[in-house]
Amino acid sequence: MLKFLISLFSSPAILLGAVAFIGLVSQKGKDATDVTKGTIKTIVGFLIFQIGASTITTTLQSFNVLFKEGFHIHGVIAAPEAATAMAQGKYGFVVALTLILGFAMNLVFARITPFKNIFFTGGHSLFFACVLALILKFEGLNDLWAIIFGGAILGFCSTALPALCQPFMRKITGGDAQAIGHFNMIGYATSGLVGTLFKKHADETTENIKFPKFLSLFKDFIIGVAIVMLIMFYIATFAAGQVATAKISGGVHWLVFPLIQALTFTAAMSVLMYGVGMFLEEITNAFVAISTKYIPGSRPALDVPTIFPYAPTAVLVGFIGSYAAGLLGIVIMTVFHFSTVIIPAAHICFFSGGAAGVFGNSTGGWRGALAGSFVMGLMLSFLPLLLLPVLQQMGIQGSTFPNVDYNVIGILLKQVFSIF
Amino acid sequence: MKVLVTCRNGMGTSTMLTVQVRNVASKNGWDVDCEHASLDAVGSFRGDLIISLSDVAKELEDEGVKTPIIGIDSLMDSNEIERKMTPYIGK
Repeated sequence: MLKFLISLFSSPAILLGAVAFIGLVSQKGKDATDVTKGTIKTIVGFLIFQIGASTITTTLQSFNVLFKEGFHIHGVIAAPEAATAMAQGKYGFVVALTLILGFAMNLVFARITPFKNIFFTGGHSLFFACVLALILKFEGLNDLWAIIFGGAILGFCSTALPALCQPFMRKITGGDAQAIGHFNMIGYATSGLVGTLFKKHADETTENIKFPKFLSLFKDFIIGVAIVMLIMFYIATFAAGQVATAKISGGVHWLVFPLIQALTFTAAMSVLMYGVGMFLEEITNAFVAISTKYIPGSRPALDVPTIFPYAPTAVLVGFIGSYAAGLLGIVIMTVFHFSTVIIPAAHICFFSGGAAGVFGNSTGGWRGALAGSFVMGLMLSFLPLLLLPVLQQMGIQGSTFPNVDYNVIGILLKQVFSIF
Repeated sequence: MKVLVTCRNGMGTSTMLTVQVRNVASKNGWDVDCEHASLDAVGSFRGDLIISLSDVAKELEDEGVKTPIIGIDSLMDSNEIERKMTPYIGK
C-alpha cells in the first residue's frame, strides 16, 4: 500500500491533480462535476506538457549534434520552455513540489511583508521552480531540502521582485492596481531606468511609428519560433554537411530533415504551452480564491501581455531592440571564441523584449524603448552564460533559461553556497 | 453560452482572464461554458463569444473573425468584464 502511494504521488501529474482536487473541494459552490472536471484536466494538462517536453528534447538533441559537428561549439537556444522540458524526466517531482510550495510561500510572504504582490503567471513560476531545483540538486541537497529552500526563494521572489517595477507600472497603467508578474523584473526596471536617460524626449512615443506589416508575423508565437528554428536548423545542417546529417536523419533526405525537425520543435512547443495552460487553470483559480479572501490589499502581478494594450508599438520596437542585441551577442561570442553560443529565441524577445520596450517607452519615448530593450537583449544573451556550466552538468544540453531574474537569483544562490 | 478566452500563447493571460470571466459568470448566475487557448484556436472555434485583451481583440477584428469579440483593457477589473459581457448574455 505504501509503495503504491509513493509511486502514485511521485508522479508530478498526480501530485498536481491532488492539489487541484484539494483546492476545488475547499472552495464553496463547486459540485462533484466541477471537482472531477478540474482534477482530471489538471492531470491531463500536465501529461500533455510532458508529451511536448519529450518531443522538444528529441529535436534539440538532433540540433545539438548538427551544431556541434558543424561549428565545434555548443549552440544553446535560450528558451525556458525547452530547458524545463529537458529537466522533466529526472527532476519532475522536485520541480512540481517546489512550484506548489512556491505558490503557498508567495501567499505567506504577501501576508507578512510589505510586498503585497501575488504572482499569477504560473508558467514562469514553473520555469523558476525548475531553475531552483536544478541548482539546489547540483549543490547536493536532498529532495526535501531542495523543495523547502526552492519553494521559499520562489515565494519570496514572487512577491518582492514585482515591487522593483511598480514605479514604472504606475506610469504605464496610470494606476496602482496591477503589478507585472514575469521573471525579468530586474531587466524591466533596468529598461525603465535606461529610458530615463532620454526623459527629455519622453513625449516622442513609439505609438507614432508605423511598422511594415511583416513584423507583425512575430506577434504569433508559433510563427516566430518556426522561423528562427528553421533558420537555425538549416545553418546547423549546412555546417555539419550531408554525411553527418544523414547519420542521424533515419533515412530522411538530409535537406528535408532540418525542415521536419524545426517544425516538429515548433509543434512540440505549442503542445507544451497548451498543456501548461490546462494544468495551471485550476491551480490559478484556487490561488485567486485564497488570495482575495485571506490577503487584504494584495496586488496581482500579471503576465506581460497585460501591459501591451498600453503601448502596442513599443512591443514591436522592444522586439527589434532585444533581438538585435541577441544577434550582436552571437557575433561577440563567435569572434571571441566562447565555448558556447547563446541563440536568442524569437518568442522570448517578443514577450520579454516587448515588455522592456513598454517600460523604456514610458520614461524615454521611442529612444528609451529601443535603448532599454537593447540592454534587455544583452542581459537575455549574456547572463545565461554564467549559469550554463551548472545546467549542462545537470543534463540540460542545447537549451537554457534566458530570463534575467532566474539568472541573477541563480548566480546569487550559487555564491551563497560557495561560502559554505 | 460558449466562450473562448484567448491570448497570444494561451498560457498566462488567458488562464487568468478565464478565472475572472468564470467568477463574473458565477456571480451573476450566467450559464457560461468557458475554454481558454492560444490564438490558433480562434479559427476553429464554433461558439458565441471570444474574449481577449483589447489590443489582441482589435487585431482579430481587423482579420475579419466572424464571432463577436470583446476586448478587455484591465484584466483585474471585474466590473469592466461584467459590463462588456452583459449585452451578449441570453442571446
